[in-house]
Amino acid sequence: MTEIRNGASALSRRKVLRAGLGLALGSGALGAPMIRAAGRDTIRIGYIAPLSGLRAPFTVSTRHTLDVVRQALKDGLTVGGRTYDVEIIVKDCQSTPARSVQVGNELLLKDKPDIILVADAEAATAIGPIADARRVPTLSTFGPWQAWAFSRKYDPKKGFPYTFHFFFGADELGRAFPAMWDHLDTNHQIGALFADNDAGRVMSNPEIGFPPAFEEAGYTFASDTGLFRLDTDDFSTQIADFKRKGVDIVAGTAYENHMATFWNQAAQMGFQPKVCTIASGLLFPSSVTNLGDRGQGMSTEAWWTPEMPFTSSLTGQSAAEVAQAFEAAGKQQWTQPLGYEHALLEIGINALRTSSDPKDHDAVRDALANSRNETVVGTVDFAGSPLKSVGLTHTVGGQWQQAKAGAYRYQLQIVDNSTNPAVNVTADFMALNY
Amino acid sequence: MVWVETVLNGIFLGGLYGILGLGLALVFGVMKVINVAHGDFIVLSAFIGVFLSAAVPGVSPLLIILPVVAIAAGLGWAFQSVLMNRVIDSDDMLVPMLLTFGVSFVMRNIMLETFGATPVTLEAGALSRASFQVAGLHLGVLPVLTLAISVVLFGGLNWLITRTEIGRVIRATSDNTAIARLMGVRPGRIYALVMALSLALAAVAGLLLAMRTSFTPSSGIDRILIAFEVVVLGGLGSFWGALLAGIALGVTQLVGFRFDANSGLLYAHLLFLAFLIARPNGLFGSK
Repeated sequence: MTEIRNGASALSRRKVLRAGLGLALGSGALGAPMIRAAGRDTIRIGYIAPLSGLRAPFTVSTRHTLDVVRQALKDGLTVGGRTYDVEIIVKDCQSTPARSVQVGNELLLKDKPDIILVADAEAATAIGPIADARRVPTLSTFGPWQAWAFSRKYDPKKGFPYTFHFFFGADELGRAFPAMWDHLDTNHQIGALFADNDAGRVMSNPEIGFPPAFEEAGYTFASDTGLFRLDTDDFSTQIADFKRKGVDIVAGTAYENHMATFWNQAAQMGFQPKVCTIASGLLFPSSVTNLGDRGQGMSTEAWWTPEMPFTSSLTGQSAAEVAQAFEAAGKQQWTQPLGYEHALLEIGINALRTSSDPKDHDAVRDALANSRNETVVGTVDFAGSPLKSVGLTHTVGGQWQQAKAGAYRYQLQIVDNSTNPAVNVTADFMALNY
Repeated sequence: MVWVETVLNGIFLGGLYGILGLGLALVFGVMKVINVAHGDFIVLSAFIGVFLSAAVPGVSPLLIILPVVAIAAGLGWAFQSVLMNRVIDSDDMLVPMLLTFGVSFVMRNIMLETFGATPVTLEAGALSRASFQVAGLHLGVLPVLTLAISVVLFGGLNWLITRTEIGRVIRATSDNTAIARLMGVRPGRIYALVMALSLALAAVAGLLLAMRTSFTPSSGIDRILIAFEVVVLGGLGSFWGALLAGIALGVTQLVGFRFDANSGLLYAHLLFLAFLIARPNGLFGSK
């Protein structure tokens, strides 16, 4: 047995009991796997996240979340009466596709995890084909499902063999934004600001992105200079065109560094829209505090906030408790990815727990495909999903408003819930004030 | 009118690009060393600026420049004396360059560990948003100020190198180290001084950059490319050439945006390529 070979110090009553139980079960059930039982003691979870690079702001809470989950699993995970140790192997994809494929291969070939969890949509896109080819169940999040699914040949009836994704769709975001704007009196003219990345391409797509959804709600893209490259550090062209077309609303997707540059230049050039609603680039507290006084009233997607009425299936914490624990441990304000990375681990561990054999990739895959999870971000249903391999979640309209109390300058308020009535509206939508 | 605005904004952006490359041009001009870590020193200065401005709230970011420049100059002196001077006499140009390459890696990861990956900006308050109108054109105060600082720095450095005693010593050391040594010059000291000056310029670039946009520890690597282009396009070692090159790149980039907002730095890179073919020695290159 591994424990005994490692020396007396590694020997504890719990481990002996567990090993004995494993032996007893193993020999009772089949007899032969007795020898293999010791080696099968640990479940390995591969966890890929953009810990550095452009999308690093998505992972400020990752270390904390992993600590919480490791704590919750410190006595191991019991599946079908057997208890396994759980090892989480964390890999940094550095926000680049090339590095994602590299760490994906490293995991698949060297660490041989029982499930791979990917906290990055672009990394999931990059390693999806190899995970399917190697037949390792893989679950990802953080990115509209369309960008993930349509990067390969996707058939909603069949899905993919081993790869799964959960998030809301670009189409829902396309409904959530105008629903929020409807609270204000505007000229319904929009200026487009889309970054040239997976999310930007999907959201600006004239068939499945924002344009048809906005048209339907009565809003038009009056100014569209096209996608901008990620290394863009000057937005004077876009702003000049927004001014010329007299748009009241700026909408699209960009990263945080783009927004800081864009919003300062907008002020310098005297451009004053009533609404600025940006996916991704206004997600984080830092994205608005970096704008100083002009962060007040910026609006964005709200897919997870502590006010949401959901509970973690892993730790039993409510959404508010998950956020509080992070703020207390990290001395910084909660961010939306906190909820989703927690849910990612919840669903992954749930699949292992409910599988007939967590060391059998096909069994874990089946458990995942047939799961309906009540998580800290709400229900994630793979079994009943009309889109195979995709678990749909929801997003609503959120706006950063001056916090009334507490240590932090701005709080994300839910200003419209028409896309997900399960969550409550917490404030009125306000026009930008100059 | 829109075109005038575009070209003006391009010139302002070029001023920033010029400063990004200025320190690099100085070090290359004197020591024939390409400091790959220059971009990381720019970012480090920006972080020091953010740290200081958080420590003494209410002080204008323009005043923060002074202590940060002093710290950066000290760092530059130490960097050159302790590390670079050990390899500077190597016959192989690659050795000092590889050393700076390693330093760049180490710095980036230490900054990542220390400051985290969250983008930060140097909150310049009203200054970063202030604008004024000239003949119906909205111009930002910060970009204009950036260009002005840029011109002053270029002029000052040019004056220092060509008109002063210390400038003569620097040029002499660069031209012929052996003879300069015979005249009582200690090349190691001169190199340390030049590196201190170079990183002081990097500090100004870093703070102006931090007021313009948010940055992370990995931003240095993004900026080093444009800094290289400024140096090469301007003619290796030429200061005014570097400023003109920066402006040429800035204007090309923004004019390119007017045709295709998704072009990014494409047209700036193309301009660079065209010059490399047509005038391999750059705008002001002589050798």
